[in-house]
Amino acid sequence: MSALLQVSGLHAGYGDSEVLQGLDFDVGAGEVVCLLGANGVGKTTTMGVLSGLVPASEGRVRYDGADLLALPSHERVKAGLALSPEGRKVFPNLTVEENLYLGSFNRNARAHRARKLDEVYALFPRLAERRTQSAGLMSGGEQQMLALGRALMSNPRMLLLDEPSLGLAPLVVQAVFGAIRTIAATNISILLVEQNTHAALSVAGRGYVMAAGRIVYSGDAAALRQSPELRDAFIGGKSARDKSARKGEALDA
Amino acid sequence: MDFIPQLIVDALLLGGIYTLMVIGLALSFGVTRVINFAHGEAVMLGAYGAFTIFAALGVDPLLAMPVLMVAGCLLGMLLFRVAIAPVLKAPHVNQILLTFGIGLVLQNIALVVWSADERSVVPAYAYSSFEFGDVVVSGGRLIGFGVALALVLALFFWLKRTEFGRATRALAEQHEAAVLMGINVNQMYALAFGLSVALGVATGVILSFLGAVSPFMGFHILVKGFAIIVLGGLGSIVGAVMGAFLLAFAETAVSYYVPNGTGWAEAVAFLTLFLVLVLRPRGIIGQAVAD
Amino acid sequence: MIRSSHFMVGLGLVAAALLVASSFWDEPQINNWLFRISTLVILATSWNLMANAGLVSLGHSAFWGVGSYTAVLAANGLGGSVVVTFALALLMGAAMGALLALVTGTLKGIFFAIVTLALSEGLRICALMLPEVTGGAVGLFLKQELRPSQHTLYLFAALAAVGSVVVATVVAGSKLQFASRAMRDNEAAAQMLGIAPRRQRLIVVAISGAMASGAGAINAWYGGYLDPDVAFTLHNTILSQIAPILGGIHTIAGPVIGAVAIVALSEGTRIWLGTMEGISQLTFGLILVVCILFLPKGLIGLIQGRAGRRTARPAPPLPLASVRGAKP
Repeated sequence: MSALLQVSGLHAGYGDSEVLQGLDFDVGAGEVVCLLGANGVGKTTTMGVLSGLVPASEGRVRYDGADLLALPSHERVKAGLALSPEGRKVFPNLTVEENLYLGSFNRNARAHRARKLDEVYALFPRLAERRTQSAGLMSGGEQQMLALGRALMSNPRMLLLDEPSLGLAPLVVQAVFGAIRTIAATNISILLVEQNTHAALSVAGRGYVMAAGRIVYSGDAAALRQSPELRDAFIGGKSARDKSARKGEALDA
Repeated sequence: MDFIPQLIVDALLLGGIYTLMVIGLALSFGVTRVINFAHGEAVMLGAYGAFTIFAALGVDPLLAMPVLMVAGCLLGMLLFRVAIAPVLKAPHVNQILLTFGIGLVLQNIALVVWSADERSVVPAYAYSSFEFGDVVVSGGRLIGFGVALALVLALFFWLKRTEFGRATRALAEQHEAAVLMGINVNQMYALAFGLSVALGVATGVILSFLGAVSPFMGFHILVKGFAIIVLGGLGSIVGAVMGAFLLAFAETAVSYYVPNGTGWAEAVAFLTLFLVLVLRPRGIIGQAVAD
Repeated sequence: MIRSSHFMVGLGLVAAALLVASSFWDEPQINNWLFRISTLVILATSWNLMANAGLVSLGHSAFWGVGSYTAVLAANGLGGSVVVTFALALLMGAAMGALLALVTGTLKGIFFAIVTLALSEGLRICALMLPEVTGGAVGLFLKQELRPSQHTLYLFAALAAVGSVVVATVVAGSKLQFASRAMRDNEAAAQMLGIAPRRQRLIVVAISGAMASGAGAINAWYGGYLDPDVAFTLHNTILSQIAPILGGIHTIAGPVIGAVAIVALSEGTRIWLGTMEGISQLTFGLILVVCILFLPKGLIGLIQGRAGRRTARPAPPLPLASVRGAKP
């Protein structure tokens, strides 16, 4: 199987602190894969590296056969890789519709704008109702829908979703993950980063468990649910981090 | 008092020109977060551009304006690429001194090229005037106001309705998310900076037929510009428009009511800055003073 | 590190002794240069003190001008001597600095820069509009009979320059310096360390204001004439920032080296390029731009960079490393 996204031996961090210490994983075309782990293990940093917000210090990322790290951020979006960031980051003073239009800023997506807008409004009728409202005035759940919709507007082949459940009420989480399932059914690949393991495994076919900047376990959703590693990643996160804190000792893919 | 209508008209006309004068400054700061201490020099060079074309070819400043604006935009983009982009992540000290230094260079190039003599451009309409009842309006000011208004409206239309305008607003609001939209940030920065220079140049073209053109005019314009954007909230374009009219009214009122007022009107901008800081230390619109 | 700082202090003492001694050398042209270097050292050191606390002044001519007017008005009105008027100018400058610090609160960066820029321009207009006090555009002459010999003024300027560097050195060794650096790097972290930014900042700006004002006072005695454009000229604002930038910002020796270099340079351009209007300021502007882009640590950085490569020893960590680490 040739993966759409293949990450190998990835190192990255901020200043002196290295957050990712030899990360390996892959996501196949049309697959939904989740990246699980406690706070601070490097999940959001991973998303940052994939979207170009955080530079990688070492390692390779291949996307659709090409070297992803060589592309500047805006080229990555053009190549069909879209991130819905942690904390949603909608444009608060712009209207809902303007936010969505911005999602299809890149030239490749602009051609599909009308069609994509219909799709997003069909997926999230709430957004259609509020299209002229300022995004900053909406509830957290609605903003999450907007962030997802905005990412979809770029006509992506692969969506990167960073903590879509963050700060949302359980019912809203259900609605958001329902939408993610619908998106997955349209053959868009999804890499999902979550702390809400239960929600993540309800949509993902398989997943990885991260601790201290590396993958410590991988398997399909059913295996993950049973795995002690997953429990350890959250409960024993601290000790796992110390154990593998030594540098330059990448796991084999 | 029967000169109140005159005062209002004068202040409105002045406010329109002030708006154009600062809107570029607010635009480039809002997007790049680098405040351009050389903005006054863009205005000054615009005025000299109009003067030179008028003196050499006899072309009306308003006809020369589009060409000068395009030239200003291109030069601004080039300047951004060469000098401003390298300090985007540098400490404030470096950014401030760099743009200040660029202003100094431009001012003195103008001094060398055009000398310190005051120049002026005198198309026919500069000396015309109209009377509406008690109110007398200078033709030059009226035309200047009209052009300024048209340009400001054009900018608002661009920001609101176009792909790049929308991206500009997005970038000013949420830098990181704008990157995720596939917006080429460096390109947008350069564009915002270029547009800001073009608007400054347009202001200079208008000022060229309203008063004297000199290499030092940029500095006074800069101080006024700052008073206006501090008044309105740094980085807020709508705030800048409000600030422009507020300052225009304050200055006009001072020049009417205070003895020796035309001289003191020049100090209003400075006083305004201090008052805003004392009365509203966080700025009129919150984001102002964050960093 | 210790050895090199002793070396620097020694070098400074020698330079100071030479500066003071040379004012007894009867050579008007050289004395004039030395006088300009001395006042510029004070001005640049003063600017650098504010910059150390993260405050960019674009209006040092405001302090300079107020000091100048204080000196001339106090001399003419009260018959004060150089020393008395100088002391008055120091007080005025300190008061003005304190006021400025109060008004600008905890604002830093661009805001402080904007306010200082407007301050000098506002004061110029005020001086112009209050001819009863300042003589307006006509200007003011310092009473000829009060003026000491030029020689006395050279000596006074040289001593004051040494004094300003001593003050800067004392500040650099005090808690104030630590506070300043903390404020420059991260005001929130500074607050966590128990530094009261507002108070420290008030002290820094007051000291710096007093220095620049004092330099203006000495210069007013030297020139003997003032008008608003002379007193509040943008030229001094430019000189005050360009000397530390060229020499090396945030260092003690930087402003001194920069002051010497700038006076040498402006004499150089005058001799080689003539007195064509704009040329010297054009050069200054270019230096500013080039330094910021390519030589952000100034001449000092250039020298230290060489030395650092030769000894290949990493610089000792800043005492502030802990503050940086405290950032979330």
